[in-house]
Amino acid sequence: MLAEKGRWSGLASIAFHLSFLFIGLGAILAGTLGFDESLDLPDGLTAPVPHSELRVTSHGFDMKTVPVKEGDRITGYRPSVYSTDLELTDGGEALARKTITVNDPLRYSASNWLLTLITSSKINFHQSSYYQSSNGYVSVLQVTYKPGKSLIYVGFGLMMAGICALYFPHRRIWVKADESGTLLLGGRTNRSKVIFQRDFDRIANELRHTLGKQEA
Amino acid sequence: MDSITKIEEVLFIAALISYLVCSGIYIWYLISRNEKFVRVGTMLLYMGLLAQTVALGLRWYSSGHAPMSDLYESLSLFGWGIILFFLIAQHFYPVKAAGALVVPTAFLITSIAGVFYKGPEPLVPALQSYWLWIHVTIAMLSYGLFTLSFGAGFFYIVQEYLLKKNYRNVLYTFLILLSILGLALGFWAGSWWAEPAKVMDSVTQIVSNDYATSDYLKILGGGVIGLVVGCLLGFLAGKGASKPGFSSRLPSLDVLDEVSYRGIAFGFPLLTIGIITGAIWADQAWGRWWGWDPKETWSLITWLFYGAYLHTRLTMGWRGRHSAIIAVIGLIVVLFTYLGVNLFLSGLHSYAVPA
Amino acid sequence: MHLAVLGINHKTAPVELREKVSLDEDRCGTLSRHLLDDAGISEVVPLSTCNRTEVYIVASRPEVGRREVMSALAEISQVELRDLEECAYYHEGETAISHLYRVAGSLDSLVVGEAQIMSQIKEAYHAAHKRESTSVLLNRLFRHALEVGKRVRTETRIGENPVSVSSVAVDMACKVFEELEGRTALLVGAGKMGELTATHLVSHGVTSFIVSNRTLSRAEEMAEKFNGRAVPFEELNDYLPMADIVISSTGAPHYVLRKGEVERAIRRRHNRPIFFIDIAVPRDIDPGVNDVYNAFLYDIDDLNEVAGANAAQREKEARKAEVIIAEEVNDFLLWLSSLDVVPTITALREMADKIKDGELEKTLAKFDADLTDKDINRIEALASGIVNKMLHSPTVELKRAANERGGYLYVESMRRLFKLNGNKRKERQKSEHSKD
Repeated sequence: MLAEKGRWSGLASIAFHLSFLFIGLGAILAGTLGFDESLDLPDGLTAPVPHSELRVTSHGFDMKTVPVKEGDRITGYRPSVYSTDLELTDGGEALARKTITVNDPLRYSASNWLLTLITSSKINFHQSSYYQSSNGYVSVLQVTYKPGKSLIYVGFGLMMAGICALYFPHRRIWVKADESGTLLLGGRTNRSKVIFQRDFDRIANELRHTLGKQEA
Repeated sequence: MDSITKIEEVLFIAALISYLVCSGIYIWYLISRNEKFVRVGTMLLYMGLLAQTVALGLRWYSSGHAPMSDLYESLSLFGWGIILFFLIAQHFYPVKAAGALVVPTAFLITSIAGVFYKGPEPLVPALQSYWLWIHVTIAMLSYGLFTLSFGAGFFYIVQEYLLKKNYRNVLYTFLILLSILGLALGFWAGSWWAEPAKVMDSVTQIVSNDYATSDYLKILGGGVIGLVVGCLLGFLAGKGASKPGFSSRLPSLDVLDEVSYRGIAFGFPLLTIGIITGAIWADQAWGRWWGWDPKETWSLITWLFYGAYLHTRLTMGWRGRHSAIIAVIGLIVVLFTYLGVNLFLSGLHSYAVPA
Repeated sequence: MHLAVLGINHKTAPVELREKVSLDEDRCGTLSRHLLDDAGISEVVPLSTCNRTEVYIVASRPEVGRREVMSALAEISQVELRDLEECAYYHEGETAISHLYRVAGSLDSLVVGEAQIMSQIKEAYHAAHKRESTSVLLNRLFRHALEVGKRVRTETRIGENPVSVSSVAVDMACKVFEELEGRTALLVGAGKMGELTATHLVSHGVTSFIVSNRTLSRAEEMAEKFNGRAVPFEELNDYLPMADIVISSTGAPHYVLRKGEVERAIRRRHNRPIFFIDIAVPRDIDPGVNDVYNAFLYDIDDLNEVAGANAAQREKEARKAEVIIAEEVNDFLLWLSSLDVVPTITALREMADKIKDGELEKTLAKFDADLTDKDINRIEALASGIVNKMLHSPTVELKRAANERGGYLYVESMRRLFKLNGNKRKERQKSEHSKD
């Protein structure tokens, strides 16, 4: 063999397509074994967490607003930040407490959880929305449990790695010398055949050119 | 703070004007092949890019968050990306001629940004995350690259028909593209003209449009007018281009094919990262990766589309016109994903809709 | 001092005569020496290309120059004086200048817009300069001519698109492949036109050639020429996928390459394009090949059509070039007229008077009312006297030099030393602009 480039590139395609499998599996796991429920939690009250014995308590909903302007005139107010001070309990025993906002959920690793047999994952409490009722604010939570999460992240990783490796194709070139003095040049690639063929032809031409000169 | 907003506005308008003038110069280049003039145009384009960069930077500074939260900011970033990648491509390849399509597209997108201009505002709660700038920047940069591929792909098709002496198809190519563009712009202008009642959910802050029959008629009317104007322009441009001498004004097929391919080859990984970061962010904010909201669905379609381009190209050895056609249609899908979905379909990505 | 040119070109003289009258380096030297021996001729630049032989001179009297050059040229190239007189043209002054500019702008060339003439003029001028047969006038004229040629090239599109069939073919190939370097060309048939086109390809960097011909020996001969490889005609289709460019020029009465074979070849090339040039009559390549994906076919009619369109475009550009040349000739004439003695003397006097008046005014102002009219007259007379005495001898010398060979050298130095050029030229240009 004369030259070789990107030996591991064959894996790229495998990694890339395998990522679909992982993401798909993760999604199926999350879809069948996990749940995604909406939970309305009025200020200061406690509610049961779906599919479990756990309970969740709101220790206060908080909201900050900013004015909505039309030119210099203030036409109303809209929320800039809202949060809920959340506590998760299991039969009176406190498990976790956190003030959650839209992009910052409470995650609780349920070690004694029924479904942890399959994959370790967390139960998440997302601040999804809020509304006003006669008794004050009601915080809307999104309670999710996604067992396939790690699989999905592995899938994402594989996909990125695969895509990056896609641009380093595996290329090989062989030279074989005949007894009559003829050189045989061979090449093989698994991707970008057009570009490889062009490069290969260039190498062959150059070789022919320099060899021709040497003979002369 | 006020004066910074003022400066930002002036710089944005300066960039917009420079893109408009450059559009004219690059189109004129195709007509006259005046090298000196287009060199001035390139300089002007660099200055426009610089002005827009500073405008975006000032916006970042004055609003306190990455300038990607509304339609003005993200469209401006989109136009910025197009110009940036076109200038890079022009530096490495002789593709000035492609500017006749790419620069006007950038101008159009930037001017649509201008239509949605709003002063800097604090972020809505859902967007308060560091994922914002990663997700949006990467997505917009990939769109910029796809626009470059679109320009090069379109001129590939034209050049190929010219070299095949198939002048009728040159005319059709221009006619079809400009008609579609005209139709889309017409619809958009129509929807602007229609001014449907806005219904905003006070809890979710999702804004939806409430269209009456007269609104639909206005949108349809806008579309028809756009189609007619596009047809007319396409016919004129096609007639002008469908003659043997025109091929010498365009880059060679090799270069156009390569630029079109490179654009997608770099844009596709970016789009993938954009979608993945979007999924991770969605998981953090809403507790789910994928919700089949219109934006997500359409970006998946875009992704599959460009994936098909690379697949046919890398494993099946496609190249030339077929690839170029995918690259051209690809941008139409991108624009729909981006603008169409934001403007016509409501969903979780509707922050960008002017409330 | 008169600028003049005597010469023959492809329009006025048959090729037999042009061959005989063509001047190589030695002959140019001999001719220049011979002409400079004559008292009436002060500068000589011979210009000889395959399409023209011209001698540019500066002579003291027009008719002398013509006779001298004609006989010297006839003598050196050993042709009958009568034959030469029949074909030769002789231009003087403005027409001579415009003639050289048109030659430099390639408007007078066989192929309008060709690029070679510029370097030929440059070489001819440098050779003459080395021989010291040029001076102020022709130095300026030829340098200016080169600038004019360059201006024509950059400001018009006269040399942009090729007009010969073989270069059109190469040009079209360049629109498919950005560069031809490292590409492979397949020559089908060993005809003359094919060879010519192949030569063009070589000059564009194509290094790899495959030649296929019905008689293998002829193919081998041609392959040798291009450092390529000869292959049997029957195996043509096996080599087709290797070729980026195919040039076909066989005498075959039927198609040599058909659609199906080309389709297969392109598939084997993974859709990389092939550019087919069919310069045979009757045609060698099935016209349907043009419909094959990524195959481009140009036959002789297509190429002629492009060449014709390009030629028409050059004609259009040539008209623009004429305008540029007229402008530049005017410019040169302006400079030339400044070399006349009388206006130079006038300018000199004007300048001196202006200085004198200025200084007088300054001086008299310092005296306030202390001076009588008589005093003032005396001072004025003193100043005038100095100026007149100073200018007397240069004026006389200039007048005398005007009638001598090389007299404009004095004029030119005078103008430079006293900076007489600038203002006058500017004024003239101003008046010209106001005319517009």
